[in-house]
Amino acid sequence: MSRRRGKVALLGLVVAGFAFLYLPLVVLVLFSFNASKLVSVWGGWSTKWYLELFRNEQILNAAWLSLKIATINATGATLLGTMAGLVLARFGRFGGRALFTGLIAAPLVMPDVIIGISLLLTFVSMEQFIGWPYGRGIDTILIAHITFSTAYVAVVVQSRASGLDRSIEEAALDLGARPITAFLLVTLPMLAPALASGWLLAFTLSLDDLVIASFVSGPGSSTLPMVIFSKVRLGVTPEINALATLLIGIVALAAGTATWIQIRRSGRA
Amino acid sequence: MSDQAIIDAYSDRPWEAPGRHEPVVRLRGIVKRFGGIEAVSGVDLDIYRGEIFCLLGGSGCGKTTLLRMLAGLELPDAGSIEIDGQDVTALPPYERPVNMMFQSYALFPHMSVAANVAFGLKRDGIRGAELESRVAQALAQLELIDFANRRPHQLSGGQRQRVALARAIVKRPKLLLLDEPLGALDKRLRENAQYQLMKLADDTGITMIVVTHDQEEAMVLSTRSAVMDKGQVRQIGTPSELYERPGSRFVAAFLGNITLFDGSVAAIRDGIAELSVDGLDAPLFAAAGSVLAGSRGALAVRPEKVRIGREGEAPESQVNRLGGIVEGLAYLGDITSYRVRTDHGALVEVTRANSENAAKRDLDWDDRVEVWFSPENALLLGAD
Repeated sequence: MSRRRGKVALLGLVVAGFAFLYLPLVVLVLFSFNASKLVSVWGGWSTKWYLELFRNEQILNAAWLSLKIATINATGATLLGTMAGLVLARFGRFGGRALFTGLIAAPLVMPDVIIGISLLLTFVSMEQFIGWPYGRGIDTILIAHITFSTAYVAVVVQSRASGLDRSIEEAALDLGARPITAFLLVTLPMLAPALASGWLLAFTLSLDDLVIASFVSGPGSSTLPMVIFSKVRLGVTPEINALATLLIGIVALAAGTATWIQIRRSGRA
Repeated sequence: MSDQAIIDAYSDRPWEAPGRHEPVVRLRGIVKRFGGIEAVSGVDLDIYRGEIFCLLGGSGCGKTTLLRMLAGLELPDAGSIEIDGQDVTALPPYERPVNMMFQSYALFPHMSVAANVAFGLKRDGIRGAELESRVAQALAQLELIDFANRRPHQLSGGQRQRVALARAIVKRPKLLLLDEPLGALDKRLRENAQYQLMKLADDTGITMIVVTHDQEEAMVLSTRSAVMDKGQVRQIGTPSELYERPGSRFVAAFLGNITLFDGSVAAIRDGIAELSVDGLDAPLFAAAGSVLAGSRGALAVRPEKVRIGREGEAPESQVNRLGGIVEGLAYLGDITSYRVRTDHGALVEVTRANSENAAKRDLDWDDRVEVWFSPENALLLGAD
């Protein structure tokens, strides 16, 4: 009897916990299908805000820019982060390892505002001294995003790389592969799941970022989160709900894919 | 007998006539340090064509480090490594005529069994029909044809072990290194794998060096073994040499059980030493070995060479006899093992083959017994 009551209570807690996390998202998704122009009043089902959204040049341009930045950022961060992660996992105890680890991980804990403002100051003074980057726009946003995304990729790659059996690469060398061949044919394929989830993580982080992008973007290079935020300040329109629903879909897809890849691979290794 | 006849007579045991044969592997003065600690300190070894040579020792004795230096995965801090007359001391692993089978098998998880086996051949630029036939041959040799397209994670432990072996022999190395090749297999599989390995050595003629901590495995597999301790080789010999004529207490105790009596050597006559055992009135006698009269030493005798019977059952002619009480008894099916506490307080291990139905115990716990052994079956070891 008491056992059963305990089970019900536990279930209640779980439901309450998930409601706490996901109720706002459910409400948002529901209201994106609201026919009424007033955000908080239900006026029946409709998909008209989605159609409105796809006619809005400003939002479409911003979305395209954000996707472009997210893709380039993810690729760049994966390249740099992989190198950093491999060094952390493989090079044992080299001089300044603790410092290197700290410096790699710092962007994970640094407030976005500080990253943003420091990058802005750097870009401005670089422009004064060496003339590059000229003004602020897509270049500066990219540099900023790669800077902090690299840290996340490095952590993902490091944990995967330190879990790999070193002797698998040694076996490749033993069988006659030069180090570069061994890396390309053996190490890289084994790291592939980490690279994929690192890439997706960096992609999502970039797509999400409002604070840092606000600091380092220039005229004509407003990313999607910036456009949304500026619109919200003038009042939330149902259009924004539709846009947010689409974004949730994309991010959930990316996160889901990353998790799926990890699970599938770890089941094999 | 002509010289040629002597060479022929020894050709399948070249280590018995070292002057007449060139070793395949020649190690001289190998030293390896990790962070100031010597993992391997001054090892010399000669290993001959067709041998299965075991490096035997406990964990941390330097056996795996030595193997990794042969593979080129570690570089020695001093000394030289020659393989088939070529100095390979400074060569990287991918330029050595050597292949290794790793303890973890180290199969490439993202490749099929066939691709794993083909990997080494492809690095040598072998393609097409020759590649296919050599892969097929190696797979056939290890009964893996049916699994050619499987991935490693779809195989059992025994199958993975065979894939690792196939991958290591397919390049026909001059030397095959095996790091605990049977360590991860359960007992039944291990016995089969041992015979498979010996058959493979016979069929291919590849010289093998096997690292193992399992003395039984070394006994079964090896032509010769090197017993290692603290980075040094303590003794090299065939299984029976190491078991019957250990050169030190360490080697004696490492290979199987042995009972030791400490004492001082009173006299040596006709190769038989008389030992005054500490705490015992009557002396014991043993084959002298290299121990000198007047020095400290220990008499060593294996449990199966000691006889046991009721008090007074020992023949009058036996000079080494001790009275005692059965303190422990273990019935193991084929043999029974006794622990006898002698009257002077020493513990003697005795095993007796149960050649007749032993259901009715003639000796039991706390029985008064007598144990005896002949001097020729005991050995005198130095005091080290």
